[in-house]
Amino acid sequence: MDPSPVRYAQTADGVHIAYQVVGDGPVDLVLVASALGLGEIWRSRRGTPFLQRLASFSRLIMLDRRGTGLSDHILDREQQLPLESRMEDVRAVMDAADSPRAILLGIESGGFAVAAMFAATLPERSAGLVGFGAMARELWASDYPFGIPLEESDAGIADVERAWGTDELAREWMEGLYPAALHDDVEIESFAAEMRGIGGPGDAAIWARVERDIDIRELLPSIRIPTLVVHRQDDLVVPIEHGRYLAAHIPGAELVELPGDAHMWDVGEDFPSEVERFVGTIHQEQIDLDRFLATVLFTDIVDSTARATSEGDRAWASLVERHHHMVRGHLARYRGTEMDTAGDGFFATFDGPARAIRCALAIAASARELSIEVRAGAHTGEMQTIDGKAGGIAVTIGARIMSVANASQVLVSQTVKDLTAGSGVTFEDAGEHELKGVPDRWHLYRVVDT
Amino acid sequence: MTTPETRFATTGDDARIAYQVFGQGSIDLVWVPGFVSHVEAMWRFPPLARFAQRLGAMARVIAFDKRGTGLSDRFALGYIPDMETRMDDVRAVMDAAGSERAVIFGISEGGPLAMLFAATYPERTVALIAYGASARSAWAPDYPGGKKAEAVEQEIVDAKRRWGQEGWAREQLLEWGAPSVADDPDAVAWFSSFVREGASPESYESLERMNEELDVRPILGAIRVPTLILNRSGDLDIRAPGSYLAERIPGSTLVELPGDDHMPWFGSEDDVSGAIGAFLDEVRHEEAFLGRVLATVLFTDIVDSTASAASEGDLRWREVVDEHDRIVRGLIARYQGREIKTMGDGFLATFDGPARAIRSATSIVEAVRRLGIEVRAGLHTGECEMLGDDVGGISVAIGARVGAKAGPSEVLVSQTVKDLVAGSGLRFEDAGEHELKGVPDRWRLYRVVD
Repeated sequence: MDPSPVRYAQTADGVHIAYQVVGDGPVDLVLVASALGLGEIWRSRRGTPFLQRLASFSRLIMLDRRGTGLSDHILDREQQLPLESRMEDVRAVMDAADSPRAILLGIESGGFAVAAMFAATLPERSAGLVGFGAMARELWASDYPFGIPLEESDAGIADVERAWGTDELAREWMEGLYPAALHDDVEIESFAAEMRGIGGPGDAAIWARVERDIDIRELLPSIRIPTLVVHRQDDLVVPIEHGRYLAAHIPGAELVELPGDAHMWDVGEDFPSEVERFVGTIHQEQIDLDRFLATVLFTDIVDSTARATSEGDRAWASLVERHHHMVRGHLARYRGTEMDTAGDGFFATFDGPARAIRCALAIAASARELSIEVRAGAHTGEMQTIDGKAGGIAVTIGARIMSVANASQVLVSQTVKDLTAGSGVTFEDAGEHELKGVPDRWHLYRVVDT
Repeated sequence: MTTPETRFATTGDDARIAYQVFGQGSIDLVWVPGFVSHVEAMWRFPPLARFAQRLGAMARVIAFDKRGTGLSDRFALGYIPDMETRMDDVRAVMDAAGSERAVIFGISEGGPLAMLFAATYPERTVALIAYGASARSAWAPDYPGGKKAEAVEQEIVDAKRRWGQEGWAREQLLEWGAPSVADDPDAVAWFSSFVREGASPESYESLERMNEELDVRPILGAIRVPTLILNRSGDLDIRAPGSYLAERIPGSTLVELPGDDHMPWFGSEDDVSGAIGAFLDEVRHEEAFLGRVLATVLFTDIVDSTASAASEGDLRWREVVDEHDRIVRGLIARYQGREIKTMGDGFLATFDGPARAIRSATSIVEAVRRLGIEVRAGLHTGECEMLGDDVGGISVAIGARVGAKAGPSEVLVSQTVKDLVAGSGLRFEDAGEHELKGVPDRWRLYRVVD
């Protein structure tokens, strides 16, 4: 699976953001990292297989945030700093990549902060949020005891200014980021190259200062989309308490504690597997979101087999054709959507139950002009689109209601009767019925044609 | 009234059809002219202009010249368009005029075209009005009132020889068009110039031959839209009495007016526009019914916004409200709702799925808390009238009342909503019976448990 060429999205404030798309899965996944470096990441031993794995079940959209990697570096400090502008980077890239809605994969503190703000601010474009090795705040505070002291952070920034992009700093950091690779010179060199691919030491020091001032704790309760927080139990750089804090403060968030000590996000198979599982549940949730309320109408010609026998095939076929034409005329008039014809009957949906009833009455009356009789049943409920057609239990109920109707009768459920109160339609009690395959007894009503 | 601007619609076969749009009203009316027409010349003859103005006072009128006539593209010699092509012309004009659905008003020879259009495109036809129309022009053994071929040939020869001459024009008015004005020099002068502007002798012949081939009798039974059959009782140019059409078009209404003029703008023209006006009133009523859509309405409102505004200070409060609006819009969109309007510090939105509406409401209630404010929310499901971008009806009022009963951070729903989402996993608590201001009965409300 080859990544697309690097393209640029332009933000409202004029910054060019480099991005790439790989994979063609059913759900869009935007990788929002603290820093990525699209130029170098595909040369990394860790990066390529990890990204390919994500792209195997998604359409993966990657970007270099402003001031890093292949994106514009020449920025005002004003443009550089706020999370809001970085959120705009993501939005601009999603627009450019034709992604109306995506799952945001927020990597480490900075990446997650941007993704979290995006999710809270633009829920209509956020299908889900994933955090890895993330935290709400870096520095210690009396109400945030697992943060690091300011001096420790200062020392880290001094290291960045002194040795960013060198094998020396790469090896030093590897101790916390990925202890298993401490003596792997290829990894060390690759990591140093990745740093250089992100930007220069001065840039890196600025980002580090910006990131340590991030505090998104207040934002967490307003994240109202499905969220997964993944954290390694023995993470040495960002201890597990940070992940637990996030999960505890984001409503409904799921926490997955993975074994291991690597803080580096592109190490191991278990993290992408968690993401894959989460993507699957989101995909399901998207399907649930597509549930809509509709009124189903089923009609059928009464005694069609007997009539076909007595009329003869040709005459009957012609009559059925006229019947179909007549039904379609009424469906158009009453704004029904034809879903299916089954045998001599129709299955249609309506966005107004009173119209469905009027349509059924009109069909029954017109059928009598053709010397045939139809039965009809209607029900209103939530359904979902399956292969372009409305489906679900509400559809089955509608079909069953029709099957208990007598010739020229229009039967409806209690729901339909209640929802059309005040519309001028009159009903008669048609008693309680059992509907095949549907639990409970159902009170049905006969529509009175006035 | 100044003469409306003439525009041109381009058809599928690249012909240009001249049309005008004038008048106003909640429904569109497409005027399918008879014989020959000229959308600009009609405004120069006071009786015809007055008739057009009367129509324009009742509806948004779309008038056009059929291909081969008036300002539309003329025919090549010997070309006779089929009905399919002529129906496509009507559609092209409707598309160009931005009319999704319209009342189709066919006069005389425009009548059969209007009937066929109504039967073929019920989804684009609000209603049908046929004035002075016949389903077929030519004689047939089962259609004794039709014109014999020899008579037609003679008429054609005569008309081509004396096309538009005053003597000929006077004869036409006397013999079929408008006997009441046959001695009126203004009417004669108008008709003689109007036919010359409307068609050349060759075009006339094509139209006449096309007319003689017409027979829409087989589709009369397939017309399912509200239909008004209108004619003068002494009309000399209809081939069968109005009852012929009325008996064959299901559910149609026949109105016969006194007089013998075939052209509606002569004689007691008030009768014609009066009958059309009365029919359009019925149609509008029916349209309001057809426009009812089942929807779940959501009302939100900021709790104690006046007190908060006072204590926060204007500027800070504006920021809070702006952020609130952003969050609410995002969460309406996320759950596929449609923002109808803001009211004070609240929103009205509609959803086509009640479960999604509830999820949107609970998300909004939680998400705005970080702004230090609380909202109340209420939902109800019922048939609403779609009024352009707004919604109306008792269901909307009920939704507003339910919302008003909610406490801070509370989402209240009606029994209807609760019943419709059974099986969705949403949970409710009984919130007791309430009287809703201005709404009859007592209403049991339920609190959504997040």
